[in-house]
Amino acid sequence: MKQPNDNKPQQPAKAEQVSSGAQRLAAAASAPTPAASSALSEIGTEPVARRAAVPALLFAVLAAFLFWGDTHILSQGGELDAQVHYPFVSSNELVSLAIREPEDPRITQGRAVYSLVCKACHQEDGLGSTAVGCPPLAGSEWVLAGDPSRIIAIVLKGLTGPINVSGKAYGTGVMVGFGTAGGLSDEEIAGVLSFIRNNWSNKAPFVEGSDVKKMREQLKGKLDPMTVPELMNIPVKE
Amino acid sequence: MMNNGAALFLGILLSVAASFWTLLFAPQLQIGRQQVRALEDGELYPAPRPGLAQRGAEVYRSLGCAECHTRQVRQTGAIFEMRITDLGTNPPAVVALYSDDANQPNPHGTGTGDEGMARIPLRTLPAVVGTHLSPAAAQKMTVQFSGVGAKAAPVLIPLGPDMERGWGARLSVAQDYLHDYPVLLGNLRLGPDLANFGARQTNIADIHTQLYDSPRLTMGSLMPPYRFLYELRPITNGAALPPEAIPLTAADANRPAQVIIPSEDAVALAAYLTSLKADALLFEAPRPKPASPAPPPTNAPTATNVTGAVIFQEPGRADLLVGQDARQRVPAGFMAPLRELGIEKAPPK
Amino acid sequence: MSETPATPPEGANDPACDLRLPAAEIDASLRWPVLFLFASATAWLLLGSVLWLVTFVKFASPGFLADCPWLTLGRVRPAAVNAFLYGCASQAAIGVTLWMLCRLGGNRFVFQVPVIIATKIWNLGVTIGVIAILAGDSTGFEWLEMPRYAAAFLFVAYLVIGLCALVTFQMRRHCELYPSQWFLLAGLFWFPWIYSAANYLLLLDPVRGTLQAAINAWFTGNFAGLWLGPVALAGIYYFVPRLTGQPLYSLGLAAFAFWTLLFFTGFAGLTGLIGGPVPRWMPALSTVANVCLLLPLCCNAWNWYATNRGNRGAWKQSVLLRFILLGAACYFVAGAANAILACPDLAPKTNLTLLKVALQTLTLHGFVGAVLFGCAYYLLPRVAQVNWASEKLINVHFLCTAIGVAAMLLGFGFAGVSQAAKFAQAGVPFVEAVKSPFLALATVGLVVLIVGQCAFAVNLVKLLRGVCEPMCRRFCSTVCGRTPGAAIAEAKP
Repeated sequence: MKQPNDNKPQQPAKAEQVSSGAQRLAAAASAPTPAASSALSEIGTEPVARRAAVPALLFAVLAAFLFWGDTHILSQGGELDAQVHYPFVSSNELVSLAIREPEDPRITQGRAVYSLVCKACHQEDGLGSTAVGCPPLAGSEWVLAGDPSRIIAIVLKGLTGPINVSGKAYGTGVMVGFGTAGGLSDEEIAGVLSFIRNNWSNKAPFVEGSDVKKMREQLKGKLDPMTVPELMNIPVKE
Repeated sequence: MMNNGAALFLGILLSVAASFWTLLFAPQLQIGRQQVRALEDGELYPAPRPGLAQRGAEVYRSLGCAECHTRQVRQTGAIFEMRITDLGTNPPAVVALYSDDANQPNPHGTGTGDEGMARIPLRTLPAVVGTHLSPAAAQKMTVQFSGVGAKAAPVLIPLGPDMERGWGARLSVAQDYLHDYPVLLGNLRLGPDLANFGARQTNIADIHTQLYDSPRLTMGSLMPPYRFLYELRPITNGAALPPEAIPLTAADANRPAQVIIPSEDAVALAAYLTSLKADALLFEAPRPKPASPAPPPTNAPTATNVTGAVIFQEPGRADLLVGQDARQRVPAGFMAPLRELGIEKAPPK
Repeated sequence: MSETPATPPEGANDPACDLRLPAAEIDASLRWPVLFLFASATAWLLLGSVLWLVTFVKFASPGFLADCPWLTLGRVRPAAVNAFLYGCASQAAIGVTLWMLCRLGGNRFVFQVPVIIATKIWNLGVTIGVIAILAGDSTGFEWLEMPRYAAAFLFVAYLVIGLCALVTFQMRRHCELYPSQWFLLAGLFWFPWIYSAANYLLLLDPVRGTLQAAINAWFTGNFAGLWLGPVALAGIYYFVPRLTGQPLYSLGLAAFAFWTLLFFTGFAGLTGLIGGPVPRWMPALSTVANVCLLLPLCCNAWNWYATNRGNRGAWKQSVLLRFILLGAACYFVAGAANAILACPDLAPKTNLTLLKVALQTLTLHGFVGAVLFGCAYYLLPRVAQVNWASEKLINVHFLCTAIGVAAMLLGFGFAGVSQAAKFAQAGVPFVEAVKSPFLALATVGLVVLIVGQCAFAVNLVKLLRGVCEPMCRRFCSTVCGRTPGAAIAEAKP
């Protein structure tokens, strides 16, 4: 069993040959000071513990904390939704804060019609699709013309044949007309055209239902889709 | 059980696993896989940083700017204000509607229904006719006003000291940081928030001057001077000036003018700071919708917001300006224009 | 002197289980690793404190040393923090862990060489890391600023140390486990797991977006709460019964506190992100965890108080016990403050102010620092078999720690409260809102703290000299056959 004193240095064998300074050093180091030996003794013993049982009350308290925690998460947790940040409380709140300015009802209706009927070919972004041969509506000079008569005719009767839109030629597709019975009503056509003329980067006057009605009368009896020469024959007001 | 090392190990492992799966793995599924998103106007958000700004992000990290500056705007709530832009064809009905107490949840101004007439400044439109409205109340008022032919729109006002200080138009959300590495949100605000710095400060010369010696522009600033990013050069009167030099002091009889030449790191850092914008309109971060570019003819004082569009402003509502904290700046004119310094710019090569 | 269990103290169980080796033998086996660990820890402590003082001076006068890019504020502060956390606190924690595991397990430590080599690698890693931060290569993540190449050194070194500690634990001779051993084991396992997870998810294969901030916050909370914290708690659990001569009041209470602490602290790190750009359920979980942490806090505090009750005057005689109890008091105050400041009404206003720094200082210097120093004051002379040169310096250290931590807590605390109040009023210009006269109090507190740390360093140097001188002399006498003085005398003509 090692004693603490084992760690003290031993006197060198040739102690009588050393100089006085080293002798003093060696003497000082090897002499245990009384304070050292008592202060290096252990204080107490390795700790032990009593009472191995966990007080049952603590589990009840823990349950209470967890219950509180649950209510806190329910009220402050933002429904565990990835988009709900402080200070908003739920995604419903975010929806209610997303109020936009009130919309002309014709635009709202026109948007719905567009999604149902036109989006498939003319696409959500109004840029059309060269693969399908469908010309763009966004920025189209046909759409933005002051007098909507020509585009009313296109929507009523459809379009076939080559057409130049925004400097590009389109001609491989055929657009069906929506003026037949069971197609779109005057108001619906007016609505979708108003939407097209005021969406994306377009800005042009609204189309009225009366305009569509007049055009429908004018084109009564025409069964084939319009062609560009026929469109150019329609007089437009400047 | 508590004497068994293996049981302890298992318990410790379970505790690590619990917090790992809940706080690291589940959020990875939620926000760690977020993608760049298209906004209403078709722009992708967030837009990737140009190369110089990306280098500036590295300089920002390397200098430890995030030790003092945060890059997260915070919000404490959102309310609506009702603004009338057009009284329509029946102004008396509008006024009658406005002065009827039962119809307005929280009228602008004080008092009861008797001074209803006085509450809409009919001379100046647009006018705020309701404030601190909840979304439902705002919707209801919109319908009521359009029922009498007036055009009234609810405008979202984000609340919070960060908004009032002009640090942002809306709170910062997770989507804003998709392109950042490392995401330096900052933990301590010893300097102003920088999330929207590029939206409120675009003057590169000012940015460089602030980095060189911040107290010149902001009195009492605690920001250390970053002189090692610049070269200070005296310019004698009439000498040609390098195009990237930023004037610091004017010349006088005793000494030449001083200019600072930013180093590459400084230029990159300035580019990064001016690229810091986080004010796009997102679903999870509603903000006042930027109005259409054409201002209506009105004699109300108007102000521009960060996107350059015009928003309607009531006199005295300076807090609606999303701009610099005006009280911090020294009076304009501190930096004299170049020609007053008698310095000719070097002709472009 | 040897330890022979005369009568089993009250509460001890089966004497056949009590096969501990004598304390002196255990201490002798731990001498060099522990001395080396604490010597390096002290060196890093002083370096970190000097760097920290530089940042305080820069707050007062921003132009101080501002022309040297290596000493710009944004680099000096993370360098100071990393030097303290990884250089000082972690090494001291490892030293205490090894000693306490051996003492409580009752077995000798047999891995001196691997641990010494690992400590050298650890020091090398921290050196490279701190220099890299000052050179501008910091990663930007709080408490993880050391770049990947420096972290690799730390990881390798810790693997060795951790394995040695684990095997030492397995080799224990006293089969019953005392609460301190549970906490030490928890710390030993948590540190490599959180360090590797954080380094992997932030530096090696970074996650996208604000999840980085969430992982960073998780890491910092766990570093303080489940690596340094448990080691300090182990120290308190060990020394309060030992130095008061009373058995620990309740093992069951300690077990309950242990498991609840472990479970809840893992979730508690994200309170800094309340109000921030993360989905709000994550910081909400942290709020719940911080409040639930009051439960282990109270259990621990009750356990220690009830243990101390048997010997109320002990703290007056023993400066070691004063250190331990100071640590316990700081632990209690920090835990309570964290729970209050995690409230979602308060948190967004306060968690970007200096209040956060106040609580960090209280935890790291008041709780962990005081307890680790108390442990060091007990174990170092016993492993070195050389007593402390000056008892007075130990008292000076204690007073300086207590006063310094209190001053910094009050200074940063009041400054933080004033900042929170002024940030909330947009009419107050920002430069006015940030400043506070209480920062001067915090600076004074830091200076006092550093004086105490220097007192410890002086004592430690004398202790090390007391250990090394006989070694040097014996080495010289074995190699040269004579003492140095004799060689010089003979060399003179």
